[in-house]
Amino acid sequence: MTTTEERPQNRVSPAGNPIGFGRMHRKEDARFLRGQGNYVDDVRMPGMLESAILRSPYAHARIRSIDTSAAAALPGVHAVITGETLAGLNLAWMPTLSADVQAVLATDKVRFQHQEVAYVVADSEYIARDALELR
Amino acid sequence: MPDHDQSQRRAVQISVNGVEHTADVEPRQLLVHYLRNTLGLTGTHWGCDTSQCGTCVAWLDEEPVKTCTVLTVMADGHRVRTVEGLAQGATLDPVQEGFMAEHGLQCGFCTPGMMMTARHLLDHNPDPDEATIREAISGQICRCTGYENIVRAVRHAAGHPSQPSGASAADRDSEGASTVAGEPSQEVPA
Repeated sequence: MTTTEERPQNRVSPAGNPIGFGRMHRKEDARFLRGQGNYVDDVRMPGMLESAILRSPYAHARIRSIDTSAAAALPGVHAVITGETLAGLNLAWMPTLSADVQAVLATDKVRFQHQEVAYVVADSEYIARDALELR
Repeated sequence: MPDHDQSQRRAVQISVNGVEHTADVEPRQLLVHYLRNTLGLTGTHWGCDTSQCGTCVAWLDEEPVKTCTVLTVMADGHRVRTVEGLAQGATLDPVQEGFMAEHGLQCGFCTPGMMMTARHLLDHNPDPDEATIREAISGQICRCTGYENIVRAVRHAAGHPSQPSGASAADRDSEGASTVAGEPSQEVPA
C-alpha cells in the first residue's frame, strides 16, 4: 500500500513567507549580502588593541629562555605574555571539554609544531607581528 | 628591526565604490586592511591571509583581486569596488538576488568574495555553464553552504539579469561621488 503525502500549496504567513514548505528568506541575508554583517573581526571598540601569537617552529623542544625585552620595547607594544607570565598567575593551563587540561602558552617545553609560545598585544596587528620577529 | 619611521608613509588617492579617498598609509599595508580598518568597509573579509580563501576579493579597476595580496600603495590612482558597491541603493545586484534566492550563503563569510567574482564572470560571460562558474570561483573557499547552492545562485543571476549589460562599475562610480568621503559602510546612492 502506498500513501501519498499531501503537501499544502501556496500557504503564506501574514508576512508573506511560505508556511511549511517552500523557500524562506532569511532575515540576516539582507545585511550579509550588502557586506553589513558584523563578524567578530569587524568589531571595533574604543581603545581596542590587537595581538599576535608566536608559535613554535619545533614539534618537541625545551624552552630554555625567552627574551621579551626587545619586543616589549617596541613602540606601540603594550604587553608581551609568555607561559611564565601565565604560570605566575596560575593561568598557564586551561580545562578542555574532555575534562583534561591543555597549555594556554607553553611553559617548560613545546609538544607540537606551532604550539603557542608567546602573545603580544599592541596598537595594531602589524606592530604585534613586528614584535614577534624581534630576538 | 622593523622600520616604523612615520616619514615612510605614503599618500594615496583611491576611488572606492565611486568615492575618492586620500590617506597616508604604511607602504606595507595590505589593501584589505586599508578597506577594513582605514575606511571601515568591513564587508571585504580577511580570511586566510595567504591568498587561498578568496573572501577578500574586491575589484581593482575592472579585475577581481585578492586584496590580502595587494598593497594599498598599488591601488594608488586606481578604482576599487567592494561588496558595499554591488547594490545600487535599495536595489540588489542580480548576483545578490541570486544568492538570496538560492540560499547561496549560510554564515556569509565567503559571500562577498564569491559575489565579486561572480559579478565579474557575468559581466564577461552572461550565460556561463556550471563548469565555467565552478572554475571562476575555484579561487574561493566556502566552508558551510557548499558550492552547489553558490553555483545555482550564479545561474539564477544569469537567468535574471535586471541591469543592462555594460552598466559596469564606471557608471555607478560617477553616481556615487556625492557620498561623504570617509564615512564607513556607505551605500552607493541609486
